[in-house]
Amino acid sequence: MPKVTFMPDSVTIDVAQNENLLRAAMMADVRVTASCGGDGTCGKCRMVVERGSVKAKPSARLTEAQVAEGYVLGCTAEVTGDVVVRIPPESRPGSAPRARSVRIPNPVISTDEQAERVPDKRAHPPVSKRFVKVSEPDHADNASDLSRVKTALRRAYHLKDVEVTIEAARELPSAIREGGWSVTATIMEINAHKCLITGFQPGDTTGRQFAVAVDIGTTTIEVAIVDLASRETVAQATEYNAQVDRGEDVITRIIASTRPGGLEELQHLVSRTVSHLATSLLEEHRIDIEDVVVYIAAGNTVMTHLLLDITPEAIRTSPYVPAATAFPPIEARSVGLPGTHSTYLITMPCPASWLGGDIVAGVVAAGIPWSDKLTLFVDVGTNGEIVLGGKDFLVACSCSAGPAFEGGGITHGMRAAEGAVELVRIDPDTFEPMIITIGNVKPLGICGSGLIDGVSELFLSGAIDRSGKFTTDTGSARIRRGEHGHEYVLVHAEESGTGGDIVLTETDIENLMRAKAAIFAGINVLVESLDLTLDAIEEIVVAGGFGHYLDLERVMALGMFPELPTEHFAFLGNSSLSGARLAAASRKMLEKTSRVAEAMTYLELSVNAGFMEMYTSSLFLPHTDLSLFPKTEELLASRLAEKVT
Amino acid sequence: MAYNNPTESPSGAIREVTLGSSANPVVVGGETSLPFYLFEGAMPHKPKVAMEVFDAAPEGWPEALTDAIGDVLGDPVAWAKANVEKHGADMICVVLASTDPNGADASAESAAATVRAIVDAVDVPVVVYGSGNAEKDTEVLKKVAETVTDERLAIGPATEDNYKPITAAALGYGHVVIAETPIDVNMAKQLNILMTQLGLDADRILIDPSVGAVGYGLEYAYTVMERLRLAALNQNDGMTQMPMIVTIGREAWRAKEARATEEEEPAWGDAAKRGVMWEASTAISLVMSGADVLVMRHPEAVRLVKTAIDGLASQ
Repeated sequence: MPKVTFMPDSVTIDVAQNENLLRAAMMADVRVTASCGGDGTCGKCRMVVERGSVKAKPSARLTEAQVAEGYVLGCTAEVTGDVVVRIPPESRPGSAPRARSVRIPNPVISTDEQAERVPDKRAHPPVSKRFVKVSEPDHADNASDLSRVKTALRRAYHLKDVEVTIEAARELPSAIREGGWSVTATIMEINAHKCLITGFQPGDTTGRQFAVAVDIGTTTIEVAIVDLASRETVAQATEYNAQVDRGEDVITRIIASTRPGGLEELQHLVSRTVSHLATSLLEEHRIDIEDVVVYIAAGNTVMTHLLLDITPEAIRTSPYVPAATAFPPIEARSVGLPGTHSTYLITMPCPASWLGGDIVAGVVAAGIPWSDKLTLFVDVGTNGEIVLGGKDFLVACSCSAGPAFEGGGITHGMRAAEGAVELVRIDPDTFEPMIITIGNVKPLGICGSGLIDGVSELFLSGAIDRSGKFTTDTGSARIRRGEHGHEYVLVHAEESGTGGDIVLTETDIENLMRAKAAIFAGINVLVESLDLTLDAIEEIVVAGGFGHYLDLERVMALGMFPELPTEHFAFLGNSSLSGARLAAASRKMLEKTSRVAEAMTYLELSVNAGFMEMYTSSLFLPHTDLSLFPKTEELLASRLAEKVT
Repeated sequence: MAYNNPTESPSGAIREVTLGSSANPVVVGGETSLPFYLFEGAMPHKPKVAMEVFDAAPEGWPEALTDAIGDVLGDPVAWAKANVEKHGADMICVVLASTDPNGADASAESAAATVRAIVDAVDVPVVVYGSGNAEKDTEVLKKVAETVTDERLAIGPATEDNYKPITAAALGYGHVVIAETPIDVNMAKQLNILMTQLGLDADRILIDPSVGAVGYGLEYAYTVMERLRLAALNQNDGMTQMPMIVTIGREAWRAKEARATEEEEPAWGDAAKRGVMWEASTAISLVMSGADVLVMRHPEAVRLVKTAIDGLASQ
């Protein structure tokens, strides 16, 4: 990884190849003026390259003389190797540089690291192709075609109790003869004792076998194509769940499903999205649908019900029970997914109404069922699902965090898409922000990580107090009285891509505080249920879309996660899809998901007396019990002391 | 071997808050035990009664109450003097109801003048409650704070919405702030943190936990107060160690059971006794849950409660 050193702060940070230079500065906590979201129009984030070089785009905002001196605009420059960059005084928003040696960006788990966490990933896939050669029948050996195949499977692969579908039986006579007494069987081996042949192809086609791993999110659906011959993911794509038009959250989806024809419609919409994603990826990679042997889908309980055309109605009403917690494999085409009669769909088990297969898959992908460490798994979304445990036990709960983390319910909130402000730093002296957007374009709104960053920065700069209310005597014009109470102007209209101001209101801050309080309270309830304390947690795995640019110090300052050493944290990304991919490639992984689902103890927070109490005490920055966040208190004190008074 | 009752000795203590003039200061708080657990710790200052005086004649009060107060009702200074001289009030609580913008909307200046006159007329500490309108209270209490600088008042209610300016006024002129939160341990604690972080000493705060009268959430208030007190004493939690002030008169006399006449509710018995009992039993319950300052209304209820407190304290 290239090292970027910023002067005069003399801070060094490791960044990814081709990382944006302004983003690197923000991650390093180096203050630079930047107000256009990174699209190069404001021309304020000037930096001078002193040693090494960067890939910079030409800019009309820089004179020829400046370019000759090494000036670049941070937001349009990419880091290609080790480099030393000086921030000139005119690019600083007022405050003096701070001496800080090295900043470590978030510990995002790499593919290799993830592989180490899951020991059984090289077992045989649960559904795969098996090639056999059989002897030609004659009068002395007049056993049936199928008997020959079964015998060969037993001899070659130790497969016993092999059964066959009627469609496969129909294919066998021609396939086996066409292949000259060699044939490839598509076999589902859910466990070693029960195998089902779902199709036959003549000859040896085992070099071409694929699985489709699917994460069915309430908001987005992500699909990966796994090559079962190499166990590698060959393609991956994301799309909004077409059900979004029928309601943003699972509750409204359930309601929509109970209307006449509603369940059918929602089922159709989700399978349409999966089909569209799968078909385009398969076409793009020239994969024949006949070589797709299985879909492995992980989704929350409601999404899983809807995909399988099972009414989720009872999940919504007391006592909140799902129709089933584990589901049989079915023909994929029976729920509208592309495939032949031999393409099956396996769905991850959903332990409880509010604890789905996405979490089961995530826990497995994080390697928790093999871990000796007491691990906390947090999937941050509309529902904050939290799991605590290790190889011996797992307890879980689900707390309604509200849509704030996905930009919902926020005045200028948006999903993490192009134009969303994702990184925010606020100068404690001038309250001027520096921002950068996804895609380095003019800002359109704020996504979850931008919101977390923004509120945390407002707090650390003293612009809001511990209850999330604005300090009104700062003298900054950015803090003003809006239509609904006070607000902070993050982006002025002339610099936004919407033509209007982008603001953070007190209500937005309140919504985020509620969301973080729910997560923190959930974590505490789980820890207390085991008679442990927060410092017993040895690792925190954070799953979910954001996390890449989320600054841990800032998340902790909000009081969302317990204050533990940075090295205890690991960011996993979309762990639900990872789990589905791993289960597609290894039977043992799939087996593990069933066992995890059975072993998980679910705590219902709505009937938990301690939850509400902990929630109210968490509705404060960082928490009513300040002794829980000593490092944040230190950070706050040092940030406020830095202020030029 | 002789048997000894098991006792607990809490690690924390309630702070002592001093009110009034330097010549005649009154201290509240200071407990090192649960209320009247004198076998486990000390209660150096008995709970005090602050008798209410309204800055303008209140309307709609039941006869049982107005008869007992008498013709001083429209004269806050005379009312205050009567409370102290005739009824033994430990303090006076001036309620600036007339400043309510939804009512008479009296000016901050006139309110401050009323408080000034009462402070001059009595030699007990004065507690000042605004109308409860967060915005107007800010203006009124600021004026009151700067008008009376020779005595330490307790001014409030400061809430999450207006604690900053009220705390600033108290800081500037040396007063005590009443921090009011809606019947929740954590919120009470949060407001105390916010106020102390503005530089206000922790012994310049009284907690108003928002209580309810008998039949109107008393149990809830009792539990929250008890938990605040347990956190203060047993967990030595500094942000819950402020003395508590409870507005009993307002709550008790809001109850239908205290207000209904004998004609309206013949089965309920003597209206005059009923209201007094409603206020007194609420007060005694809250004394048992840790109240340090009781804001009360009816002279007879005050007499009963003071007798009870004296009895409990001399056990």
